[in-house]
Amino acid sequence: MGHYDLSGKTVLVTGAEVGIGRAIAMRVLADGANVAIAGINKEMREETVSLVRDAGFVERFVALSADIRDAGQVQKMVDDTVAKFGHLDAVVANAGVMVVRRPFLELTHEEWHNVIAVNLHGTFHTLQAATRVLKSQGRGGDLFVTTSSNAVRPSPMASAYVASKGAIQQMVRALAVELAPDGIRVNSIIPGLTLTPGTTSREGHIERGKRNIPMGEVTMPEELAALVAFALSGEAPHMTGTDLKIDGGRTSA
Amino acid sequence: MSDRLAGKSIVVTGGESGIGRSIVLRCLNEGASVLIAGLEELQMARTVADCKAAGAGDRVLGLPTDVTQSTDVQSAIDTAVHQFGRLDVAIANAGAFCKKTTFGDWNTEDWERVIAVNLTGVFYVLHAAAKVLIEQGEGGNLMATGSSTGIRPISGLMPYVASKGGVHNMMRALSVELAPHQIKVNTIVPGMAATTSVTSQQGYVENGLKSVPMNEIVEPDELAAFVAFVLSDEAPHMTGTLLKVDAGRTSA
Repeated sequence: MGHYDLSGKTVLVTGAEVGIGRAIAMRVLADGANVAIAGINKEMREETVSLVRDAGFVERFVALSADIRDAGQVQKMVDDTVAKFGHLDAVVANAGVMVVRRPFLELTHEEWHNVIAVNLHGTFHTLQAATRVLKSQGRGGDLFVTTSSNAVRPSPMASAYVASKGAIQQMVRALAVELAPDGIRVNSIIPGLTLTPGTTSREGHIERGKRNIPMGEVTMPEELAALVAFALSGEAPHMTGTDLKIDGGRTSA
Repeated sequence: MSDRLAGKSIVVTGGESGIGRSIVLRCLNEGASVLIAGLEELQMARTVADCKAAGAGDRVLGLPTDVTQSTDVQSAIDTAVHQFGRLDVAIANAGAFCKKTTFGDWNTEDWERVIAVNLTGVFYVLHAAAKVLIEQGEGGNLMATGSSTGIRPISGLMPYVASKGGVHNMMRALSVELAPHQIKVNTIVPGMAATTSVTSQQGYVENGLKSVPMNEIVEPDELAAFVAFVLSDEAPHMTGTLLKVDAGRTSA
């Protein structure tokens, strides 16, 4: 159940079939927004669609298929969202890949290129297509990028992932400055170790990660979704370049 | 407004004006009980009257408090516990600003005053409050008001900038140390907010806006809204975070 009034806003969330993206989509729907989700995971997408239907939000919702590595598919995803709802207010560039734990010297070039293609190029494609629409509408808007506590405090054996997240974290900062005159706010979402299928499916990942968290507990996707809803609420219209961080203290220690 | 904060007992130092006042009004509006610990007694009486006019009833109290006196601070915390039955949140917001001065012209009295209020005063508040929260054993929230100048300094405000940098890192240290007690520690980071200490200085805003990408001043209510979100329990694992609303000042 939501708290903020987001009715009339159109929000596009990439990688929203599961995890943090799905929680954001469900939360902003509950707060009244129109929502488009986009991603490549057909099976999980159908599961999200039925969740949305059960919650009674299906009339304010569309599920799209898009691989963010392909700028053409990203452009179509944004165009389809605008065609469906008539305008665009916010984009959450959330889609990303993790990588299997891999010592640096064992990291293949192919693995490196794939992580960068999704997390960095894909985020760039998404933000550029979204910014073009927001600028042409001329009434500002919100961009969010899901980065990682790894962008601030790296874990070992994940150099490609850490590098990609560090890059998009800094891209947020650059765009916050560059797009401020257009009234476009740009904020990063920084999850610490968060309970998602991506983290729970990996043997020992949660147990290992918890040791570095002062609060000793994982973050829930709904916490990050609530924070995004606040940021979209219009209650803090000058919040830009801010790290929306919920990490149980991981990056403070 | 909602009752997200119903039943919470909150102490706000410097709650009589500026950002503190916005936080007080917002928290009362969402159902909390608030003790304003303030130095400016006339202004505090006006703010308490405004709160009562807004329907706060006996959920608001004003207590004259000089945060540089640890006994004053202790009695503010004790009074909140006594009047409201418990403590959930302390917001160390009282701060002293300083006039722009070139480095060579600082005297030690200016330095000592700013450090006493902005750094040691914050320590007194957090120290007294943390003791109560740990004793209660149910977690809680500690906040302090830092500054965008703690990240990106303004020339000529060295004691202020140093004190706020100290606050930021004190909060970071406490977020780690108090995490096992489920006490969350977060820092409010305003970037040129519209408070009288800022707007009353000739040319300060005009000059300051040159380094603000959005080219606008931040309203205290924006920070208060962020604080209310954090206190709402919607994000129980948010600690060690900078609650920054600065129109892009520290990004540029």
